[in-house]
Amino acid sequence: MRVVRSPGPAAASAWPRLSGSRGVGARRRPPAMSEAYFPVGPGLGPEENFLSLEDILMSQEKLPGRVEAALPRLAAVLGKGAGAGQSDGIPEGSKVEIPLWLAKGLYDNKRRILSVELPKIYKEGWRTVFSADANVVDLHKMGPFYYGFGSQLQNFDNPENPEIAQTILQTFIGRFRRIMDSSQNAYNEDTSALVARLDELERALFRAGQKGLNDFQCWEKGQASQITASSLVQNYRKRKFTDMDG
Amino acid sequence: MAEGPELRERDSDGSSEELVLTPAQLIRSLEQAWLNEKFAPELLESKSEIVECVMEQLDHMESNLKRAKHGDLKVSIHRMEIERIRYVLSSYLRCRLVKIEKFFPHILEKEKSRVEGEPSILSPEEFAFAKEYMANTETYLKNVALKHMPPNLQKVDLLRLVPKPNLDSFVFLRVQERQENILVEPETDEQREYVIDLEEGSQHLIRYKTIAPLVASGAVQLI
Repeated sequence: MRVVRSPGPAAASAWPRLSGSRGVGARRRPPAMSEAYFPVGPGLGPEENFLSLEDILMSQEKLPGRVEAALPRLAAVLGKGAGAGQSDGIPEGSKVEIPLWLAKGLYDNKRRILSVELPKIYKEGWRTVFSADANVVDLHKMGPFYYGFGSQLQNFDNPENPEIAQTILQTFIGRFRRIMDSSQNAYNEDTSALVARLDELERALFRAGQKGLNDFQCWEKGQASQITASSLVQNYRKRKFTDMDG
Repeated sequence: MAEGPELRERDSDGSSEELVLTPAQLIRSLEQAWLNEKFAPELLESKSEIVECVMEQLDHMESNLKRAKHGDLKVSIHRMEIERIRYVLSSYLRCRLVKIEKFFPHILEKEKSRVEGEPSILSPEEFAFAKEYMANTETYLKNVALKHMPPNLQKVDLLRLVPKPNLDSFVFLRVQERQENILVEPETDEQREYVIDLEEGSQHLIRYKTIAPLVASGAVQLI
């Protein structure tokens, strides 16, 4: 039966000698119990978190749409500036590709200004591909924010919203098993082949799985009770070094 | 740890009703509070009585050990136990601080709208910490970004910006006292809401929102 370790006074003196011989590799480990800094995570469902960097990046993805009302003098802003002058307007009914944050701001229930269309990966054709086998699809190429963007699409009125929601859910269920397996069993090896076809949400899950695996292996080797420098302090020190150099 | 004295725990409003706990029971209630705090998505009620009693107990154990014979085997075992209890206590307090930092506007709002007789979810020190944290964050956002913006955009509503705790997350629990008639909400459109009974000693995976009052009263234990 394994004895649970705890930092007793006799044991503490033995560890530094053992680990000191490991060399450079011993420094990099983050503390297992808590981090110094918790970034705000992406929002759930149709809500976005204002302070989350992943959500900011996700809402920059473009959405095709059609302008319902004429927009005078905004051609340059909305990307139609090539060939048009500074003060050209956008005539009614023309197609534009705008970022999600702009679409959410301009979209109105009475649909006076903008009407949005679904990007092609949320349309019927691709939905049948996902329902056939979700594991083979390269979600990173299909827009790296498949799940987040799809959840945001629920904000716009669209008759296909329930099917989109179902498809996203079933895709996630289909792919999750493989992600969990690969993240828990790839220790100390190059994971780029495993991660290449995952979208951002799945990559975050993969990283969480890897972190758990690495922390557990550290604990097994007895390196969990070593004090390591916090990641914030390490970065601070690095920057100071280059200041002195340059 | 049968050597320590029995501890008295006073009722929170100072009435003469005393609850006598042995040290073993005190440590067990600290562990329960710790596990509940770790797995609940929102900040739970502050158990400052348990914290104070445990700190007293730790001081007492330390002073006992100082008086003991040097080199005795029991000393190192007791010292290990002190370290373990200290770890659980500091992990409990750290978990609460992480949640305060994460959800500070909502916690302060809840504290402001609390009715007088209800127990507080923050201890006085945590309340001071939360207020200071909020003031610091507002000052920081103002100095870094907001004061450079046009005048009509200089307000930031932290209550809307900072995400709320997700009460719909699923938690594992073990039932301590038998409960009847818990209403479970439907997950999909085809299901209807239904009622379940919780048997003592059984374990479930359920949304936190459904059983939040049971966690507060101690009828279930999160695992």
